[in-house]
Amino acid sequence: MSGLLYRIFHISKKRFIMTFCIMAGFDIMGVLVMLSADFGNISKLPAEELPKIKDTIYMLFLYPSALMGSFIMDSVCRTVKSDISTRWKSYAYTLPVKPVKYSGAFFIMFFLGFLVSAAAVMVHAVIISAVAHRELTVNSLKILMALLLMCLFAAMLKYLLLLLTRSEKAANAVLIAVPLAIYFAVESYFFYIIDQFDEKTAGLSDEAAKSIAFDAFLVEKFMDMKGFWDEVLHMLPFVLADLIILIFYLSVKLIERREK
Amino acid sequence: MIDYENAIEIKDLSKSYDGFRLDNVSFSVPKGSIMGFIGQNGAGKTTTIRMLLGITKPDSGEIELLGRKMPDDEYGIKADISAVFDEIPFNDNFNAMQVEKVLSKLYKNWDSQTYSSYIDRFGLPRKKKIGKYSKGMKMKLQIAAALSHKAKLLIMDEATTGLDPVVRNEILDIFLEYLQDENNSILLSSHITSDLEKIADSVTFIDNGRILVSGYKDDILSDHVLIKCSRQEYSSMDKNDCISARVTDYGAEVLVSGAREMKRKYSGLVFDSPSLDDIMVFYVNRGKKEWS
Repeated sequence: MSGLLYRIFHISKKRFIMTFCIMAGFDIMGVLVMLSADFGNISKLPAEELPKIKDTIYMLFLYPSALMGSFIMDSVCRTVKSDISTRWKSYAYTLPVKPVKYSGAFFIMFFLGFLVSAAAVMVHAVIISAVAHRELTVNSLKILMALLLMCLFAAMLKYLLLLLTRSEKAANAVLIAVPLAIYFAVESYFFYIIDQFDEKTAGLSDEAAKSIAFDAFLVEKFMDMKGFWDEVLHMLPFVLADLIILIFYLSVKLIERREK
Repeated sequence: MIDYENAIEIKDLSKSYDGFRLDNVSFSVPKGSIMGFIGQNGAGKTTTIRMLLGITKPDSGEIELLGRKMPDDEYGIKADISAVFDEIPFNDNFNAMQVEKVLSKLYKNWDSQTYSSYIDRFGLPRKKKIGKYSKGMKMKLQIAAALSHKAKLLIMDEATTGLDPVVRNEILDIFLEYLQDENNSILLSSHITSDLEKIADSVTFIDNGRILVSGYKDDILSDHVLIKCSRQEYSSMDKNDCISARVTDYGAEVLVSGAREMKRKYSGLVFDSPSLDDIMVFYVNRGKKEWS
């Protein structure tokens, strides 16, 4: 298997290095903006607005770093793309390597990518928090790790889609369609809430309807949702673990299926 | 170690695609020999080879490689065989040393010294990226990799196509050296019949998904004869004897099998020995019977 790992690493190496360079650049940029908030032009903004601006800057530099992890994990998928364009995929069938091992090598690389990304994101978070004079909370770390896990899952899903469709365009189309579907689901939920509010106030006089404030109703619903998402956040590793096992199983089946 | 007579034995192999059918293909490659697998483009050579290698699943039929049934002992068999394709399967960013790093970990019997000696012999640069290799160099690298894990069977699909005659000769010499060990066998598919005429022990012709002729090359060559005659003489010939005939304004060339009997039957005519190329062309046109 080490031969396969070496091959995947060698093909993805360039993108790995590029992502680290971008991440380092992002770190430097974050540090400079934070320093500007303390000593530079940003610090000269009105004192009452400054804490809010600092908060926003901190958030802007803390969380997007997790998305860089997606580039690291996605670079493993480049190997599959390269295999489609070269004859490797057919050649691999002539090697004494079982599909479980073949696909397993990709999954090991995904997990290594995840670990490296997690370490890089942690270092980034510690630096950004230190410069911003913030305490890095457990909740922030949980969100960062959850984002990274989602990236890991997306990369594995892309790997499966590449095996299935043999086209990066088709795989990307599905990967874009999934978040879009989630977005429309969330939007539909908001319309559902508005409908519920309309139902609740239907037949009431304007005076009575005003007593049920829409924003209070919305906050109540959001609190319900927050409770739900807190649960999801705790369950996420287990849900993703199950899905990853399913993707691995399907990828092995796809490799076993042979070419037409 | 399993004792076997034929390195490859396939029986009634069939596969249907949209618009193509490989129909009950059967042939065998004796251990220690080299078989040429001949046919025009789209005849079914690559499909047959892909099924032999386990890349494509056959609809029906049996495959036995090195005395073991496919796919029962698929990965055990694959450790002892090598495949060479018309295009290199390695990423363009790899160099010869990196190819070794990958393959040496995948084959238990990998021999770094053998690989190194082939790299030196072929004059391949060790650190140059494969993407910058010429076609001939790429093919040599594939062959070096294929011969470095003590494979007992080499299966090559159009491996010499597109190479210049000097490189092709060099590669054919390597194959002959490889066959010095009588446990080694080669199946070489090609439509360059002159290469096969030089080195093949046996030949299988495939056309339109069907095997037309299969056997020892010398037997096939000696069993067929090319009759050169006038159009008038051709018209008096029994058409059942003809595989097909190339008829021009100046006369006719007729390929017949059963050379000894035909020479007796048409003793007044001029006989010529056909090449494998001639046999292939006349067989491919057998449906038309007459062509120009």
